[in-house]
Amino acid sequence: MALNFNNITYEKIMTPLRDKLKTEFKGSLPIYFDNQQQDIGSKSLRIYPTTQRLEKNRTNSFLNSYELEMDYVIKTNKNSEKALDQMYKDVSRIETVLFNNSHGGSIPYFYAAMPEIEHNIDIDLNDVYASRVTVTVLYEEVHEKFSKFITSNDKFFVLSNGSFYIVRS
Amino acid sequence: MALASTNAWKVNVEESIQNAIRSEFGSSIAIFRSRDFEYTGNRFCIIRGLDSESNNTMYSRLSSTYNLSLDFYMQDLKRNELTVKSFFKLVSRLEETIYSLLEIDPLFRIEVTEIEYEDDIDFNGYRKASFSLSVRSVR
Repeated sequence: MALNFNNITYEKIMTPLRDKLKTEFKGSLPIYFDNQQQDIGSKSLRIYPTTQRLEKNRTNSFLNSYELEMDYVIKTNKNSEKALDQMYKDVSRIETVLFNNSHGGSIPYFYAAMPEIEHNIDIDLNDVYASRVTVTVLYEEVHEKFSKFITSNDKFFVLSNGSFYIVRS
Repeated sequence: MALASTNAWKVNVEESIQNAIRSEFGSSIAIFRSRDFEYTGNRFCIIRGLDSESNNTMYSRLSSTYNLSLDFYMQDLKRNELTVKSFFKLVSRLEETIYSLLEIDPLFRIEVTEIEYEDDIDFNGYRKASFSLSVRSVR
Protein backbone atom coordinates (compact mmCIF):
# COMPACT_ATOMS: atom_id res chain seq x y z
CA MET A 1 0.00 0.00 0.00
CA ALA A 2 1.44 3.37 -0.96
CA LEU A 3 2.08 5.77 1.85
CA ASN A 4 0.05 8.93 2.23
CA PHE A 5 2.20 11.91 2.99
CA ASN A 6 2.08 15.70 2.91
CA ASN A 7 4.85 17.97 1.71
CA ILE A 8 4.82 19.69 5.09
CA THR A 9 7.94 21.84 4.89
CA TYR A 10 6.97 23.31 1.54
CA GLU A 11 3.16 23.40 1.73
CA LYS A 12 2.57 24.10 5.43
CA ILE A 13 5.62 26.10 6.45
CA MET A 14 7.32 27.89 3.56
CA THR A 15 4.35 28.68 1.31
CA PRO A 16 2.03 30.19 4.00
CA LEU A 17 4.89 32.34 5.20
CA ARG A 18 5.63 33.58 1.69
CA ASP A 19 1.92 34.20 1.01
CA LYS A 20 1.58 36.39 4.09
CA LEU A 21 4.64 38.42 3.10
CA LYS A 22 3.43 38.68 -0.52
CA THR A 23 0.10 40.04 0.71
CA GLU A 24 1.94 42.63 2.78
CA PHE A 25 4.33 43.84 0.08
CA LYS A 26 1.91 43.46 -2.86
CA GLY A 27 4.53 42.52 -5.44
CA SER A 28 7.10 45.16 -4.51
CA LEU A 29 9.38 42.56 -2.93
CA PRO A 30 10.23 39.44 -4.99
CA ILE A 31 10.32 36.41 -2.70
CA TYR A 32 11.93 33.11 -3.64
CA PHE A 33 12.91 29.78 -2.06
CA ASP A 34 16.56 28.78 -2.26
CA ASN A 35 19.58 28.32 -0.05
CA GLN A 36 21.73 30.39 -2.40
CA GLN A 37 21.36 34.07 -3.23
CA GLN A 38 19.85 34.93 -6.60
CA ASP A 39 20.26 38.19 -8.48
CA ILE A 40 16.64 39.39 -8.64
CA GLY A 41 15.49 43.00 -9.02
CA SER A 42 16.57 45.93 -6.85
CA LYS A 43 15.51 44.16 -3.65
CA SER A 44 14.48 40.62 -2.83
CA LEU A 45 13.82 38.17 -0.03
CA ARG A 46 15.23 34.64 0.07
CA ILE A 47 13.50 32.05 2.26
CA TYR A 48 14.90 28.64 3.11
CA PRO A 49 14.65 26.33 6.12
CA THR A 50 17.84 25.45 7.95
CA THR A 51 16.65 22.90 10.52
CA GLN A 52 13.65 20.81 11.52
CA ARG A 53 13.57 19.53 15.11
CA LEU A 54 11.23 17.08 16.82
CA GLU A 55 9.84 18.87 19.88
CA LYS A 56 7.24 16.38 21.10
CA ASN A 57 6.26 12.91 19.99
CA ARG A 58 2.64 12.56 21.02
CA THR A 59 0.32 9.57 20.67
CA ASN A 60 -1.35 10.82 17.51
CA SER A 61 0.94 13.59 16.38
CA PHE A 62 4.44 14.93 16.02
CA LEU A 63 5.22 18.51 17.01
CA ASN A 64 8.14 19.84 15.01
CA SER A 65 9.85 23.21 15.02
CA TYR A 66 11.18 24.56 11.73
CA GLU A 67 13.85 27.23 11.71
CA LEU A 68 13.60 29.44 8.65
CA GLU A 69 16.25 31.83 7.39
CA MET A 70 15.15 34.90 5.41
CA ASP A 71 17.75 37.10 3.74
CA TYR A 72 16.56 40.55 2.70
CA VAL A 73 18.82 42.11 0.07
CA ILE A 74 18.66 45.63 -1.38
CA LYS A 75 21.05 46.88 -4.06
CA THR A 76 22.66 50.25 -3.46
CA ASN A 77 25.55 52.52 -4.21
CA LYS A 78 28.05 52.57 -1.40
CA ASN A 79 27.03 54.51 1.71
CA SER A 80 23.49 55.20 0.55
CA GLU A 81 21.47 56.16 3.60
CA LYS A 82 18.28 56.03 1.57
CA ALA A 83 18.78 52.33 0.87
CA LEU A 84 19.71 51.74 4.50
CA ASP A 85 16.49 53.39 5.66
CA GLN A 86 14.49 51.34 3.14
CA MET A 87 16.07 48.13 4.44
CA TYR A 88 15.24 48.98 8.07
CA LYS A 89 11.69 49.90 7.04
CA ASP A 90 11.09 46.67 5.07
CA VAL A 91 12.61 44.46 7.75
CA SER A 92 10.36 46.13 10.35
CA ARG A 93 7.37 45.35 8.12
CA ILE A 94 8.46 41.71 7.90
CA GLU A 95 8.81 41.59 11.69
CA THR A 96 5.33 43.12 12.08
CA VAL A 97 3.79 40.55 9.71
CA LEU A 98 5.37 37.75 11.76
CA PHE A 99 4.09 39.28 15.01
CA ASN A 100 0.56 39.71 13.64
CA ASN A 101 0.50 36.04 12.58
CA SER A 102 2.16 34.63 15.65
CA HIS A 103 -0.84 32.58 16.76
CA GLY A 104 -2.09 30.75 13.69
CA GLY A 105 -5.49 31.68 12.38
CA SER A 106 -7.00 29.71 9.54
CA ILE A 107 -3.80 27.71 9.02
CA PRO A 108 -2.82 25.31 11.83
CA TYR A 109 0.62 26.71 12.52
CA PHE A 110 2.12 29.52 14.52
CA TYR A 111 5.47 31.14 15.04
CA ALA A 112 7.19 29.86 18.14
CA ALA A 113 8.96 33.09 19.02
CA MET A 114 9.66 36.53 17.67
CA PRO A 115 12.31 36.55 14.97
CA GLU A 116 15.97 37.31 15.40
CA ILE A 117 17.28 40.01 13.10
CA GLU A 118 20.86 40.68 12.02
CA HIS A 119 21.65 43.74 9.92
CA ASN A 120 24.50 44.29 7.46
CA ILE A 121 25.42 40.63 7.11
CA ASP A 122 28.00 39.46 4.59
CA ILE A 123 26.44 37.42 1.78
CA ASP A 124 29.27 37.62 -0.78
CA LEU A 125 27.50 40.16 -2.99
CA ASN A 126 28.89 43.61 -3.84
CA ASP A 127 27.02 46.90 -3.44
CA VAL A 128 24.13 45.53 -1.43
CA TYR A 129 22.75 45.88 2.07
CA ALA A 130 21.51 42.64 3.58
CA SER A 131 19.61 41.66 6.70
CA ARG A 132 18.89 38.17 7.99
CA VAL A 133 15.62 37.36 9.74
CA THR A 134 15.51 33.99 11.50
CA VAL A 135 12.13 32.73 12.67
CA THR A 136 11.00 29.47 14.24
CA VAL A 137 7.69 27.93 13.15
CA LEU A 138 5.90 25.23 15.10
CA TYR A 139 3.75 22.73 13.23
CA GLU A 140 1.94 19.73 14.63
CA GLU A 141 1.43 16.89 12.22
CA VAL A 142 -1.48 14.65 13.17
CA HIS A 143 -1.08 11.13 11.87
CA GLU A 144 -3.55 8.37 11.37
CA LYS A 145 -3.40 5.62 13.96
CA PHE A 146 -4.22 2.23 12.53
CA SER A 147 -6.08 -0.43 14.45
CA LYS A 148 -3.99 -3.57 14.63
CA PHE A 149 -5.32 -7.10 14.82
CA ILE A 150 -3.21 -10.22 14.68
CA THR A 151 -4.62 -12.91 12.45
CA SER A 152 -4.80 -16.57 13.39
CA ASN A 153 -1.49 -17.44 11.77
CA ASP A 154 0.25 -14.59 13.67
CA LYS A 155 2.06 -13.41 10.59
CA PHE A 156 0.06 -10.41 9.54
CA PHE A 157 -1.30 -7.26 11.02
CA VAL A 158 -4.60 -6.35 9.42
CA LEU A 159 -5.23 -2.66 9.11
CA SER A 160 -8.62 -1.05 9.52
CA ASN A 161 -8.93 -0.71 5.75
CA GLY A 162 -8.34 -4.44 5.25
CA SER A 163 -4.78 -4.30 3.89
CA PHE A 164 -1.93 -6.30 5.42
CA TYR A 165 1.43 -5.62 6.91
CA ILE A 166 3.86 -8.50 7.23
CA VAL A 167 5.30 -8.77 10.70
CA ARG A 168 9.08 -8.49 10.70
CA SER A 169 10.90 -11.59 11.89
CA MET B 1 17.96 -18.25 29.30
CA ALA B 2 20.89 -16.33 27.89
CA LEU B 3 20.17 -13.90 25.11
CA ALA B 4 21.34 -15.14 21.71
CA SER B 5 23.67 -12.78 19.91
CA THR B 6 22.32 -11.06 16.82
CA ASN B 7 23.77 -8.41 14.60
CA ALA B 8 21.39 -5.78 15.93
CA TRP B 9 22.93 -2.79 14.18
CA LYS B 10 22.71 -4.47 10.79
CA VAL B 11 19.56 -6.56 10.96
CA ASN B 12 17.35 -4.74 13.46
CA VAL B 13 18.26 -1.18 12.70
CA GLU B 14 20.00 -0.29 9.45
CA GLU B 15 18.45 -2.95 7.23
CA SER B 16 14.97 -2.18 8.56
CA ILE B 17 15.35 1.42 7.45
CA GLN B 18 17.06 0.46 4.22
CA ASN B 19 14.35 -2.05 3.31
CA ALA B 20 11.53 0.38 4.12
CA ILE B 21 13.05 3.05 1.85
CA ARG B 22 13.75 0.53 -0.90
CA SER B 23 10.19 -0.78 -0.83
CA GLU B 24 8.72 2.73 -0.93
CA PHE B 25 10.99 4.31 -3.54
CA GLY B 26 12.09 1.27 -5.54
CA SER B 27 15.02 2.11 -7.78
CA SER B 28 14.33 5.86 -7.84
CA ILE B 29 16.49 6.45 -4.77
CA ALA B 30 19.61 4.39 -4.15
CA ILE B 31 20.39 3.76 -0.48
CA PHE B 32 23.72 2.68 0.93
CA ARG B 33 25.13 1.84 4.31
CA SER B 34 28.65 3.07 4.73
CA ARG B 35 30.74 5.49 6.73
CA ASP B 36 32.87 6.95 3.95
CA PHE B 37 31.05 5.84 0.83
CA GLU B 38 30.41 8.56 -1.72
CA TYR B 39 28.11 7.96 -4.64
CA THR B 40 27.11 10.42 -7.32
CA GLY B 41 23.75 9.75 -8.92
CA ASN B 42 20.71 12.00 -9.21
CA ARG B 43 19.24 11.00 -5.85
CA PHE B 44 20.66 8.81 -3.16
CA CYS B 45 20.79 8.22 0.58
CA ILE B 46 23.61 7.14 2.87
CA ILE B 47 22.95 5.65 6.32
CA ARG B 48 25.69 5.98 8.91
CA GLY B 49 25.55 4.43 12.36
CA LEU B 50 26.77 6.83 15.06
CA ASP B 51 26.39 5.33 18.52
CA SER B 52 24.16 3.22 20.73
CA GLU B 53 23.40 3.07 24.42
CA SER B 54 21.65 0.49 26.53
CA ASN B 55 18.40 1.51 28.17
CA ASN B 56 18.85 -1.05 30.97
CA THR B 57 15.17 -1.38 31.65
CA MET B 58 14.40 -5.07 31.20
CA TYR B 59 15.44 -8.28 32.90
CA SER B 60 15.47 -10.80 30.06
CA ARG B 61 15.55 -8.52 27.06
CA LEU B 62 18.06 -6.03 25.79
CA SER B 63 16.69 -2.61 24.98
CA SER B 64 19.02 -0.16 23.28
CA THR B 65 18.78 3.21 21.61
CA TYR B 66 20.67 3.56 18.35
CA ASN B 67 21.56 6.92 16.85
CA LEU B 68 22.09 7.19 13.12
CA SER B 69 22.37 9.76 10.40
CA LEU B 70 20.67 9.47 7.05
CA ASP B 71 21.90 11.90 4.41
CA PHE B 72 19.67 12.46 1.41
CA TYR B 73 21.16 14.04 -1.70
CA MET B 74 19.29 15.37 -4.72
CA GLN B 75 21.03 16.84 -7.71
CA ASP B 76 19.55 20.23 -8.56
CA LEU B 77 21.06 22.00 -11.52
CA LYS B 78 17.96 24.06 -12.39
CA ARG B 79 17.54 25.48 -8.87
CA ASN B 80 14.03 26.83 -9.31
CA GLU B 81 10.82 26.68 -7.30
CA LEU B 82 9.70 23.37 -8.81
CA THR B 83 12.93 21.64 -7.86
CA VAL B 84 12.72 23.10 -4.32
CA LYS B 85 9.18 21.74 -4.03
CA SER B 86 10.26 18.37 -5.40
CA PHE B 87 13.15 18.22 -2.91
CA PHE B 88 10.94 18.88 0.12
CA LYS B 89 8.32 16.45 -1.19
CA LEU B 90 10.93 13.70 -1.22
CA VAL B 91 12.10 14.73 2.27
CA SER B 92 8.52 14.47 3.59
CA ARG B 93 8.07 11.11 1.87
CA LEU B 94 11.30 9.83 3.40
CA GLU B 95 10.17 11.04 6.84
CA GLU B 96 6.79 9.34 6.43
CA THR B 97 8.49 6.14 5.25
CA ILE B 98 10.69 6.14 8.35
CA TYR B 99 7.69 6.68 10.65
CA SER B 100 5.77 3.90 8.85
CA LEU B 101 8.11 1.47 10.63
CA LEU B 102 6.30 2.36 13.86
CA GLU B 103 3.15 0.68 12.60
CA ILE B 104 4.81 -2.66 12.08
CA ASP B 105 6.52 -3.60 15.31
CA PRO B 106 5.73 -2.22 18.78
CA LEU B 107 9.26 -3.12 19.95
CA PHE B 108 10.78 -0.86 17.30
CA ARG B 109 10.44 2.85 18.02
CA ILE B 110 12.00 5.28 15.60
CA GLU B 111 12.13 9.08 15.70
CA VAL B 112 13.39 11.72 13.31
CA THR B 113 14.93 14.01 15.89
CA GLU B 114 16.28 16.59 13.48
CA ILE B 115 16.66 17.42 9.79
CA GLU B 116 19.28 19.89 8.65
CA TYR B 117 19.23 21.43 5.20
CA GLU B 118 22.35 22.53 3.39
CA ASP B 119 24.17 22.30 0.11
CA ASP B 120 26.91 19.74 0.30
CA ILE B 121 30.28 21.24 -0.51
CA ASP B 122 31.67 17.89 -1.59
CA PHE B 123 28.80 17.33 -4.04
CA ASN B 124 28.51 20.54 -6.00
CA GLY B 125 24.94 21.19 -7.21
CA TYR B 126 23.33 18.80 -4.74
CA ARG B 127 20.71 19.73 -2.19
CA LYS B 128 21.18 17.81 1.02
CA ALA B 129 18.89 16.93 3.91
CA SER B 130 20.68 15.38 6.85
CA PHE B 131 18.32 13.33 9.05
CA SER B 132 19.22 12.51 12.65
CA LEU B 133 17.48 9.28 13.60
CA SER B 134 16.98 7.67 16.97
CA VAL B 135 15.86 4.04 17.11
CA ARG B 136 14.87 2.16 20.24
CA SER B 137 14.93 -1.54 19.56
CA VAL B 138 14.31 -4.41 21.95
CA ARG B 139 15.73 -7.89 21.36
